[in-house]
Amino acid sequence: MPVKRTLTGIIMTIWTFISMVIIPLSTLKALENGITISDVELKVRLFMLDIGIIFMLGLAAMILTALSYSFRGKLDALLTMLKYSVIAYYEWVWANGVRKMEVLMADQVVHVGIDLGMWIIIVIIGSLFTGFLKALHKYLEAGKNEEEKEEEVW
Amino acid sequence: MGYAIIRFLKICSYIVWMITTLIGTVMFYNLAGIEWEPHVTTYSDSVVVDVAIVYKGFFFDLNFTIEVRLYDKYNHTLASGIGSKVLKPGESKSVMLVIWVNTTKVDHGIVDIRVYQLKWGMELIGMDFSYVV
Repeated sequence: MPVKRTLTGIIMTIWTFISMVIIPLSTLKALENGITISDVELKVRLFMLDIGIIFMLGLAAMILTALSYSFRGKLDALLTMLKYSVIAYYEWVWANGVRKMEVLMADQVVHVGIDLGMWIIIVIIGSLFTGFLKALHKYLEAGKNEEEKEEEVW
Repeated sequence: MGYAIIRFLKICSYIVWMITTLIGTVMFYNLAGIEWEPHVTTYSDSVVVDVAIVYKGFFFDLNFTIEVRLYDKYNHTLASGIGSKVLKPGESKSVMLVIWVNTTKVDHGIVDIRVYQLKWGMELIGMDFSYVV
């Protein structure tokens, strides 16, 4: 059981960093350098996205994932809630980052903005709610285990 | 009892996650499939912009707004026009703008297009495009 948890922890830690930093930022870099669609070169630039914050939040989420798999009990619950809060802030940073973009097609420059509006608010509330419930579940389980151990001692 | 409630709420949170993902996917699909074609006719005293919009989306309505601003060579605004239409899925409509201006003075224009997904009068996800003509 501990081996399975350790392996899952390693995989989830690596996947957190890949999905939150490597895939999005490498896609962004590819779009900035230009992609060709139907013989038309397309370049996309984002002006309001703070890549440094994205990197730091991805790193923080990765560390929190690793720590939550390293500890058990109430500390695991706290780390889980922290991780979901980091993810919610990460989603908010992306939502703000796509508000101002520049698309270069041939000689034409089109300024594009995406307003995720109410939808991103629902997504963030959903993330925080999921994190809170997972943390609460772990917290109650930890409390129950502590009680059982105390009873065994008596 | 406490565990049963948490399990129930966890299922609720997964349902919320699935619904938001599904809604997001549909809305982005809808926005990606909008077609519009502007026809511009220039007269000596006016510019007529007729935009044909085709919306083939699902579930959500579309709010389409176009604004055209015309400038002289010193970048001073000469005139502008704005028009808006709400389309239901599968509908096609057109927006016509008549901008009264001395066209000999016009150097360039800026077109602003805003498209928003609507449900029950609430703007959910939107995009805006702006380019020089």
